[in-house]
Amino acid sequence: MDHQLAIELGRGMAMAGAGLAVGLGCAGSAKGIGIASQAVGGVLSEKPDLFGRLLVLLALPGTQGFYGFITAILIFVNTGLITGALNVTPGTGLALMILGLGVGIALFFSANWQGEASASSIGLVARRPEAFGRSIILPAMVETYAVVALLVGILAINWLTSDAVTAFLRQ
Amino acid sequence: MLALTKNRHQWGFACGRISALEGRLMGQDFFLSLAGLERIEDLFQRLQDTSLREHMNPGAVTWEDWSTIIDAYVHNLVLSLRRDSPRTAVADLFTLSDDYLNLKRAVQHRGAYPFLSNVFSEDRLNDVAAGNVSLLPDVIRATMAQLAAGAEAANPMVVDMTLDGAYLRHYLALGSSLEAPFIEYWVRERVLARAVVVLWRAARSGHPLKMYQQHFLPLGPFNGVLGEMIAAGDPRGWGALIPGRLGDLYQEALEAPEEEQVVRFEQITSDYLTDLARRVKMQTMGPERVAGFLWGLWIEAFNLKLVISGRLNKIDPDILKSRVRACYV
Repeated sequence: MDHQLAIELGRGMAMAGAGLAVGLGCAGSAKGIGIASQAVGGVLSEKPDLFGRLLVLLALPGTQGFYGFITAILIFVNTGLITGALNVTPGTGLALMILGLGVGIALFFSANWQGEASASSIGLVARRPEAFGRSIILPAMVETYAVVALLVGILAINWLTSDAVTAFLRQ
Repeated sequence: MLALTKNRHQWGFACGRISALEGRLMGQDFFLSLAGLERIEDLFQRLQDTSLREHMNPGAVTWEDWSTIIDAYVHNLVLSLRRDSPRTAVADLFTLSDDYLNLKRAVQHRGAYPFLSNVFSEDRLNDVAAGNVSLLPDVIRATMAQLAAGAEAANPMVVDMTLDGAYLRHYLALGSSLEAPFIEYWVRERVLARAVVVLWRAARSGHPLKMYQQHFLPLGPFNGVLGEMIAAGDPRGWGALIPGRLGDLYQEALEAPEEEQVVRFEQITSDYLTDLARRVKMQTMGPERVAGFLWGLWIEAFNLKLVISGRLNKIDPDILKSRVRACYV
């Protein structure tokens, strides 16, 4: 394959992976926060003094968007897009695209479910404000799997774009 | 058991409000303690610490005062939740009875409409009084046209039968319009229980049940069972005809002294419906949650009226306590 074309393909697929990770992560967070904010709005109309506590629960599904952002930035940096030293083979690009898709899907669904869990916790705080501490734990459990996806994404991106792997692929 | 609907996030706001409002509902212990108070002044004092306070006015001492306060409290809250709900049918289920009391006055040309209205506006009621039923809901239009056109509107018994049947048909239609199987099931149970009470009271009063076949029915899925009950005539044999849990409750009610059987049936079916409604308390978002809360509110209003009217009329506290219905919270 023509070297220039190979670089183009590798870069394109890596960018697609970054786009999928950040796109799905942000879309999931937007939906999760949307779900939770409906419940927060209803509770605040009756108990406005709970705003501070509910804001924490409302913000929890927003973290997946940032995880997608971190994944995308890491792909940008490690593939040389930012520094200008492009070092992505088609195989690495394909792997990064699938990785971005996997991380994105995990982030999308975890944000959705976290929105649901947050809405439940918001209901709990509305009934029993003193249970706020325990109520955070419920949506935080969902967060675990978004963090796992992010960690695997970071490790895999670093491994796929490490000098040793890149040098091996170019032999 | 029927599953609750899922992913109805547009109900989130109303359900969020309900999460906050549920804490203000009064429990059964509260009503039992109210019923046991010796002085009526103490009862009024206790009520000032409840959600009723916003609707109270100084010097409310008569039954009419308190009835107005309770009705205003319930009606305002139901309408407020109706505005916050993506579908109005859930709230309409709990205001429909007052609307039909106004509709009855319109049919009988009795002028003003004192009951709190929601589904039928005053203009619509004036139309009905003038004989124009074309803008009423499809489910009752034909019945109302027949009632308005004939001389039957002059017979109060026929008006009652016809409007009771129309109300229950309307109620069934609202319940099935929500695409929520649990609500539809609950509404059907409530409608059947209500229809049984109507026929039972009619039988006890010596009214000819055949007239109910003509004016009260049809009633959707219950035409068969209600038709059989009318044909059987004697209420003592109805227990075997009524299907499901309501049949068991009917048999249980028959064990009470004869003059208390209907009231007993109303009470235990109310408790059964409350027990069903409690299953939706854990739903985060959905029409079932709103319906459950509104039923809880409806029961709260019933218990409040029972205790206040009972204490004002010096009814024995033990009798009052035995009549307090199971609460949602």
